[in-house]
Amino acid sequence: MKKFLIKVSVYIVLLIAGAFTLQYILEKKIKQVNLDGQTWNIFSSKISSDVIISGNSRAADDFSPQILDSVLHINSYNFGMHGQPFPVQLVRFKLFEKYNQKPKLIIHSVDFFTLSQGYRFNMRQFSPYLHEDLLRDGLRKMGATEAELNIPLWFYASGWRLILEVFTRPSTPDFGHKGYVEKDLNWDGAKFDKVLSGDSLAAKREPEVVALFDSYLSYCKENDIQVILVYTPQYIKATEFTKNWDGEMQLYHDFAKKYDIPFLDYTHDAICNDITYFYNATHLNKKGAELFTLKLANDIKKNLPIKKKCVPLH
Amino acid sequence: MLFNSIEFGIFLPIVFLLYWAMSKNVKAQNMFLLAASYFFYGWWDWRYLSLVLLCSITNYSAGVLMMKTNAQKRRRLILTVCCLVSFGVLGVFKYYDFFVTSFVDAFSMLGIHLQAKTLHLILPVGISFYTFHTLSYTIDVYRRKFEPTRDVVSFFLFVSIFPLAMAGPIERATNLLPQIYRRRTFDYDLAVDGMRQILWGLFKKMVIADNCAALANELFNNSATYSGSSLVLGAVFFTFQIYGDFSGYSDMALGIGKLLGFRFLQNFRFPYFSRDIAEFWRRWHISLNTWFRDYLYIPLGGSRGTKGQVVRNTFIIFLVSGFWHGANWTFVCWGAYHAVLFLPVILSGKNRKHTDTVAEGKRLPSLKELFQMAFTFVLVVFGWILFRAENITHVWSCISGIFSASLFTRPTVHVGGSEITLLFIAIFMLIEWLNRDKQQGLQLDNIKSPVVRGVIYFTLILIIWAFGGQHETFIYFQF
Repeated sequence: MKKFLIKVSVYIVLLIAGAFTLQYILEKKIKQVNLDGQTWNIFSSKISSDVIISGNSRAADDFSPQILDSVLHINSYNFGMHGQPFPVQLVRFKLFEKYNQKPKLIIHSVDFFTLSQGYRFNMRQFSPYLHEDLLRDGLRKMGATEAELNIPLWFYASGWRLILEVFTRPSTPDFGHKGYVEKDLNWDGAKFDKVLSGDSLAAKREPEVVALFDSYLSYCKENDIQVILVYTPQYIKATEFTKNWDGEMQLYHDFAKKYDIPFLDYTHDAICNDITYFYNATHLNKKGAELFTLKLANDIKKNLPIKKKCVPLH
Repeated sequence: MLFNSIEFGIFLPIVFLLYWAMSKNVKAQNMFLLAASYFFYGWWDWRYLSLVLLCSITNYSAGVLMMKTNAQKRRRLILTVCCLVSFGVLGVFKYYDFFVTSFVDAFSMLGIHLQAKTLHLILPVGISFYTFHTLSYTIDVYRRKFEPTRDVVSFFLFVSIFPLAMAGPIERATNLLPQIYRRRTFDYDLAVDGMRQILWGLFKKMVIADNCAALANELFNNSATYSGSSLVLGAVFFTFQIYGDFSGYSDMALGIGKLLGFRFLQNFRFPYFSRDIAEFWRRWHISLNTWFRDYLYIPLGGSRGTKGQVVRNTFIIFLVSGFWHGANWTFVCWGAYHAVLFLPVILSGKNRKHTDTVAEGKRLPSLKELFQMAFTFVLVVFGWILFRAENITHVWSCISGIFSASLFTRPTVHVGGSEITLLFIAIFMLIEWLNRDKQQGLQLDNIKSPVVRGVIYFTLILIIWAFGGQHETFIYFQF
């Protein structure tokens, strides 16, 4: 019995040591390659932008910081996160705030997916930062288990594709241009045609997330952070096909009214009628994003004076 | 609590240490193991412990009552009551809804429309296993093959011992009860072998079965959109899913048993290397098939009697075996299909032709053996389509999809991972082939170097970690 227990203990110790070593190597590599096209360089405190663009993939794809900077003479950064609704966007904002200067302006991209609950999507991008309590809490809400958060390598179980990817991809310390990667793609309506063959699209909304969004806007107001809510253009048929559209839009109008902040709705802009500006029903391509960002920048310049002086781009 | 869950990873070491800490007192050890087994079963749903208790009390009482009488009529009555209670519980929980809806469907075909009153009961995990497991005891006592026990703890432990509680193997009282009675001492070699078998079972379950499951589910659930060749690939993936899943579970159960000093019945002996269908059935789910052989087939007359009786007995055993798997006509058809395959072998008296290991003492099989194995494998794969399909309509849609012009096109799967899964299947089959004359795939008796053995263990753990598929529950839990 003693021999057996000693042998098993030796194997367990070797396993744990191996797991920690492999975890260290993996995390180092994941940080270097900017997995899932996301930038998590907020931890390095190198971002001096005082204007941040927040939201999901529609923020990531639709806003060019370069154009905003050139028209508005500001220093913006795009923090759009693919597939992540507001709870995760909030975690990222809080982490940004923790390691960098407080932003003066947030251009927050909202849509029918923003106020839904976080779910297990592209979780691996978070893996090297699990020591952050804010992130851990956020991941728990997304469905991460205690084992994933606490046992070395558990997070990467079944992750052979990830391992292959991180060890074959070149290091990319800076992701895109200030967080923005242009999508030089043509319209592909295959997925949308499938959606259209169904009943209708439904805006997703969770009361808990609505309350969270409310408290976020309240926090921004208390801390003198200017917020502009923006609903970026989407293909008009997608808008028409969404069954609770008016209710969803009213909610954002109500928020705008409550906190006295602008809500810029581009869902009936001319861009929305032309599929050459989109690569799918809800995401603009490079051409569309550049045109939209220019419109937005000019609208902000004409109608919405930025209250605080923002540091211009150097 | 699945064997491949973190909860079980905590549960097993605690049970192991406490269990061996009381090795000097077999009664305390059995009592502790019984409590651990009830805890394990109750973790899934404590309410269904009442069914385990009912099954234990009924069969224990039947044994005691039979011990008290020599009157054959009375003994038969006790056995009948016991079978009625055991099968009654199984029937209500597993088959009631099926029979009701089947009757309603049958009457509606005659133009009579009846109202179906189904119960929608949750099927208690392991009910088919522990019912059969326990009945083997009562039948053996009735046949005077086994002395009934008065030791309540031992008997209740025999019914519910946790490695076997969920999905077998279906133990026999003649094998397990004597092991429960006697004092068990820690056997280092047995425990090491058990650890290896658990590791091999985990590999089979998590790397082979779970990866195959994702692909088979995609192909079967969307069968209308796939080509014939892709559906064949789906059937192959399911073939390895069900084998990896069930034999992986059995390996883990046997391995855990060895850690606790028990030797449970072997449930699989490399069935996909069978040279004919009779050999396949001697190597697949052995504990269930021998149960049916001993308690159903032989009492019916077995292969003795007229050809008509042999045909009848073969069909009965395979149809019942199919039905045991679940309340669905697909399982019945699967049983009938295997009966049809089995009949020519048994009627020609060749059912015990291949009782040895294929290519024994050789590295490679002969061309004839290779052809026999390939032919048997194809027949088995085809049978799994019946087993996997949702219903008879789905069976028909899959089979007509396969036998279409698209059978000769390149197979495609709309989800990734098929190539790597096929590679693992190939490696898995190679390892099984090399160990086909052993008890399990990871019996490393011929490797003397501890370093080499260590490298093998760590490589397997690394593969399980990196390539393990999404956590799927065990298929046989539903039976």
